Amino acid sequence: MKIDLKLQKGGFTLNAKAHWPDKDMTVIAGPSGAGKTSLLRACVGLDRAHGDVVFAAQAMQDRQSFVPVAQRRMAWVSQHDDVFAHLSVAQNFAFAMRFAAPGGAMIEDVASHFGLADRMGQNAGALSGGEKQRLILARALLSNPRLLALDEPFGALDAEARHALLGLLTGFCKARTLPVLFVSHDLDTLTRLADFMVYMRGGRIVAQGPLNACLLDEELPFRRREDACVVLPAIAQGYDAANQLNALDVGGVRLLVPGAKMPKGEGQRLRLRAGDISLSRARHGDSSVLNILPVVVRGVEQASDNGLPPGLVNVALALGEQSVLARITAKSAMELQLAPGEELFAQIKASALVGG
Amino acid sequence: MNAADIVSQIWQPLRLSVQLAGVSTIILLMLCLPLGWVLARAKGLWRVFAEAFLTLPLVLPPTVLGFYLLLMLGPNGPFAPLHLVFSFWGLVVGAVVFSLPFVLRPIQNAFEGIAPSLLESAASLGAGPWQVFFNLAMPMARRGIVSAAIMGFAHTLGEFGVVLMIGGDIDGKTRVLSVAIYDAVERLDFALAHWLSGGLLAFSFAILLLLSVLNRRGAAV
Repeated sequence: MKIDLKLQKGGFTLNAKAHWPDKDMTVIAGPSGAGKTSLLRACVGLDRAHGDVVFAAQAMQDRQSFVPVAQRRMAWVSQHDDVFAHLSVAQNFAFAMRFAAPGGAMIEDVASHFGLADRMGQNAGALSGGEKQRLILARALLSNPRLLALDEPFGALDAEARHALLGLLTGFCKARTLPVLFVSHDLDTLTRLADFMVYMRGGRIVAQGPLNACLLDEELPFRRREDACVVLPAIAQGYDAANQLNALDVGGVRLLVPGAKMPKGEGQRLRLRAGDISLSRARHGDSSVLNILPVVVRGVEQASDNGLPPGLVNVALALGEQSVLARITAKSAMELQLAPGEELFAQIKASALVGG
Repeated sequence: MNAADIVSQIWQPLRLSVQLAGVSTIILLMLCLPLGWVLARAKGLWRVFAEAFLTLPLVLPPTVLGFYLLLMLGPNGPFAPLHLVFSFWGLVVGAVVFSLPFVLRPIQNAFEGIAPSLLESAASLGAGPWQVFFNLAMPMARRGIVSAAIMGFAHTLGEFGVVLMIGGDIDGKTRVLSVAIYDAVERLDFALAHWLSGGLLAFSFAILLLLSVLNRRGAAV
């Protein structure tokens, strides 16, 4: 999507210019009050901003024209409970189907994908909170949109339910190559979902790029957070059933990650927290850490750099073809005398697979 | 006076009152549904003015309303060619103006109670403004709409001042229940006044009871 938008709203000014892929998952991130929701609303056509929006090589709005929201085929899911409470679950779905362009998903398939198949006759207002979220998402997908727009998706759900629903969402959208544009300030959600990031501050877009580049961007807060992390594409290569370990190929490097068996050859997202990586000059054979891998130091962020927790430094590393971040104490960094270009061993303690 | 006399004296004004209230309520609904929808979603200064103006009939004495309506509809007014004064349709115009806030308010409140994000979600699914209105807003506001219709009907049934000002007291044409009661009292026909007043009282109470039951049931769902 290519945008150049200006919008005045009370004392707030949105002035956003950006260009991101029309495929995959794009997150609009930033601190609260940055204008994330305003930007999402303007992209979908809920608010009329000045300027241009081009999606899939079609002008959604420019100087002369404005495609109304109902004709954009951009299904929007707000932060609120927007079930049509006077209708049954099936009628909620039927409502979306009435306007759906041909070739979309079938009600039965979507209902069973989102675990609502046995709720069809039930009044939508009587569903549980989690079921309502699934209903709203399923309904949006049934309208056969060209883009799914989510505002802080599933923020009301507990972590477990949210992870499950994000997994279902990813599965559906990847299978149908449906692009998703979503707003989130939650690092966990955006590392699970996003491929591309647009970062906003004070109504402007201050950075944009592939997820990992943004997580490592020195201008952005992510690398200084206590839970700083990177997300790497990984491909399942084999499974050690006895030890319940998946062998993953991460940009030419082999990593072992515990968990249920991943189908061989399937793409995964592997999240590596900076705090879970430690460094040493020698390969220790007597460690409890499974993954000890050669890395190359790219740079050391000084302890005096603002925003880092006191006494800690970030070490940027090359792990195979990928960039990762290790969070170690300033004392260790000094004792190891780290310098760019040095070859070390990284011990990667634990890591999480965060979806396909 | 025997029972047959009383029945015949009640029947004409009762029929007229119900007719007037029914016709006015239908017209009021047709006016207030779009008006309430627009006001509920409107922003800015003109909404404030429109709301104040449309609430005027609530606070003005009916005689003031009736006086202005008489000027407007009368032989020297802009609507003189319609010959509405002292006619049934003149009463309808008066009743519509007089009862407007009673119908508009519950409808507007009901529409305002629908979350904007819900309607926006529906639009993003591909539903146009008319489909959103008829398929979502109307059914979701149905309780408010039913309340509004009942309020409009009951309120029109009891109106007196406006009717007297622009309709007068013509038997079978503009003599509605409330006017007939006034008439009966003036003639010291207390038996008739009792029957009419008691009937109206019972009817009004029944309607408010119905309204309360409807609201209660709606809240339980």
